[in-house]
Amino acid sequence: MNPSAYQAFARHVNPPLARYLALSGRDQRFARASACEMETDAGEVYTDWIAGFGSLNLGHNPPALVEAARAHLASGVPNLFLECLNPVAGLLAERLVQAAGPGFATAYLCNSGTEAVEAAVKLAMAATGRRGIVYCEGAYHGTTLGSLSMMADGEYRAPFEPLLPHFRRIPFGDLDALATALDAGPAALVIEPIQVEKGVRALPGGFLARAKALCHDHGALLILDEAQTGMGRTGSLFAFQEEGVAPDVLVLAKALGGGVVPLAAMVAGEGLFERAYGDPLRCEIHNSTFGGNSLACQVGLEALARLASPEFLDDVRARAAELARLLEAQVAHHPLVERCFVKGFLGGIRLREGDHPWFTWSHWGMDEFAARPAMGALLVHRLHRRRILAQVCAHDWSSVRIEPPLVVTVAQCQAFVAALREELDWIAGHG
Amino acid sequence: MNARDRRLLEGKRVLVTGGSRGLGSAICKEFGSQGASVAFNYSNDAEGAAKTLAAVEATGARALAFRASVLDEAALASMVKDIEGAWEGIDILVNNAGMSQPLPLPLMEPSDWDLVMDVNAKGSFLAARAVLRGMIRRRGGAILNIGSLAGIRLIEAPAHYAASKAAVKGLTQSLAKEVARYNIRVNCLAPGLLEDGVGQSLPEHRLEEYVRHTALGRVGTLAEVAAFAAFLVSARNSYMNGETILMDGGL
Ligand SMILES: NC(=O)c1ccc[n+]([C@@H]2O[C@H](COP(=O)([O-])OP(=O)(O)OC[C@H]3O[C@@H](n4cnc5c(N)ncnc54)[C@H](OP(=O)(O)O)[C@@H]3O)[C@@H](O)[C@H]2O)c1
Ligand SMILES: Cc1ncc(COP(=O)(O)O)c(C=O)c1O
Repeated sequence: MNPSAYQAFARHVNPPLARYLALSGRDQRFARASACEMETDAGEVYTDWIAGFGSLNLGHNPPALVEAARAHLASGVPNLFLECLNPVAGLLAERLVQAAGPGFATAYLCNSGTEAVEAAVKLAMAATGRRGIVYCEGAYHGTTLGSLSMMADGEYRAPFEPLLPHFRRIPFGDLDALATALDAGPAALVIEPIQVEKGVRALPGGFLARAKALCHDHGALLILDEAQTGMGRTGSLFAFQEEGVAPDVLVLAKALGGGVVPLAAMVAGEGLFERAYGDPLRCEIHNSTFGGNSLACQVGLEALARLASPEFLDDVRARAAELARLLEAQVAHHPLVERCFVKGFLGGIRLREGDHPWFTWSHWGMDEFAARPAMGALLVHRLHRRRILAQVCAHDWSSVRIEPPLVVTVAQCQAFVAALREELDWIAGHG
Repeated sequence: MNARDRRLLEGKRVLVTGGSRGLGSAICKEFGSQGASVAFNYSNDAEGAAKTLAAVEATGARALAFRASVLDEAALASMVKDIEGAWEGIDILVNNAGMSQPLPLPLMEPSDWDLVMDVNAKGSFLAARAVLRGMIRRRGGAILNIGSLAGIRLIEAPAHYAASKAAVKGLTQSLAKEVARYNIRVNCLAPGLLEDGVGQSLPEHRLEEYVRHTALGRVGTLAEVAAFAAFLVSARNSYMNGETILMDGGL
């Protein structure tokens, strides 16, 4: 890759991000990637424990998906089937509905998680004729205005207030608060099974079943956002399957496109699409030009087939169990670690804040972050120097996410946990 | 006793690197007689270390000696831990450990370069980092780096030595800026040629040449450098920071 292309990013795409990356030594020029590794133009190999925030479940550039894309582009099949029957979208929607299980009927295909969330919210409003949404503290559903109206407090949200009216926030996992909020007659509850960005915290067991019953008692829908937890991430194809409770509407994104194409879906229960958009005047009022383009759908079909395969998921669970065992043995009880959670290949390590002044943002010359925890970023920095790509959670900078591609090897898990342990020891010894 | 007569470093806890002989040993003794508790390290010269230890104790001061290279992070950490354990802190660090080799460029191997750069520059960084952790926590202290005329002026000195001492000057400036907010001052004392120590490897005619060009007409003594070092790290010298001071008899 031409070096000036990276400078062009710094100049024309996101100058402040580029400055921060340079300042924190993270301005490597990555040029190639496959499976769990990214390689710089200088040949340095990094292991990726961010995995496109859960998009690269099959790893970088999975050969089967790349080949599917290549073959599809060469096939002459139309990419855009606007105002026509789209057979590739048809097949993908059919597979998604089947994979989601009994009760699901349609899938709206689009290009990003936030679009799928917006589609779900609008579907709920149109189907129920109601206004208002109940969402959770600590949520992350995307950055467009509807999704943003359900965003946790903080810098993602503050500059855009006031957001949509009648969006009510409840504490994550609080059934009493849910019951109260439902009294106002909202269209739906929108919730994530695991709030990744709030430090990777899971709903209490049994919550989904009771929440679904409460929603239905109040005439509201249950919308489950599995943009990040879905597609095998937690060891099941969808996290809700572990609870045995299906939502009314399921949001999928990220890994659905295999990390190769932008692809997201809103999978809806029987009758909902009809209730919302069930006549010729309304059947296209929610749309997106490239939603369901056949290239994305073809790659999505390939990705889904692989991620949903029982052998693949068995293997994921076996390797994830080994990662969990290693974390428990070497990291979970470290004095710096407040909490260590992992489910499948989705986890988080929450660090206690240190009290040494030289482990603070202001000592590092980044006073603009002074109010934030510094230990998560410190650990990320130390890991990065060992060529491990990691990141904190968007709403909880004390927590470092554990989110490798699902094709990560046991050896890579061992190396990661050993590095984690050494760096935690180093921080404890120097702060 | 009025303020002028009070000893300069009364009650201060000091770590001097490279205290087994030469300037380091002289600094240990001077600091002891100025009322400081003195810890020092060395990497080889156990006999010299024993002499320094005895000499510091003879001043009535507390003294500790450690065999620990300034390039051994773990040994530095455990030394600092021991001193802080015994005295509850370190107020002053003198980065004195240093070395040179009389090598002209054509005979200087990359390994020679690395060794001299490592001991003089990296060793100062590592010792400073080991001690600063506690100084910052206690929000106070002083660091004195021993530089050299060779790092500042054009004199005949081996390239690696001159480069390492210029590095020490830069380290002084950067550290001074970084830790001033914690009430820690960092300065550098750069002697010219002294009566003993690293300069002894100079050939006779070079020594004569140096003496001829120095206004005072002689080399410096270890004692006069040590006395000035005591002032530089003392509370009397409260506004000097990031500075490199030459002490060369007027060249
Ligand atoms: N003498 C001069 O003319 C002159 C002029 C300008 C600047 N200086 C500077 O003054 C400082 C002291 O030098 P000096 O003249 O006193 O030299 P010296 O007599 O050779 O003493 C050097 C001291 O440093 C110690 N040392 C060397 N390597 C070490 C290591 N890796 N770890 C711990 N200690 C180590 C030595 O102890 P071990 O041998 O036991 O390790 C010794 O105690 C040096 O920084 C030098 O560059 C001296
Ligand atoms: C749970 C969840 N929902 C929605 C989104 C938004 O997805 P996208 O970035 O594709 O709009 C994300 C992205 O991080 C997410 O984690």
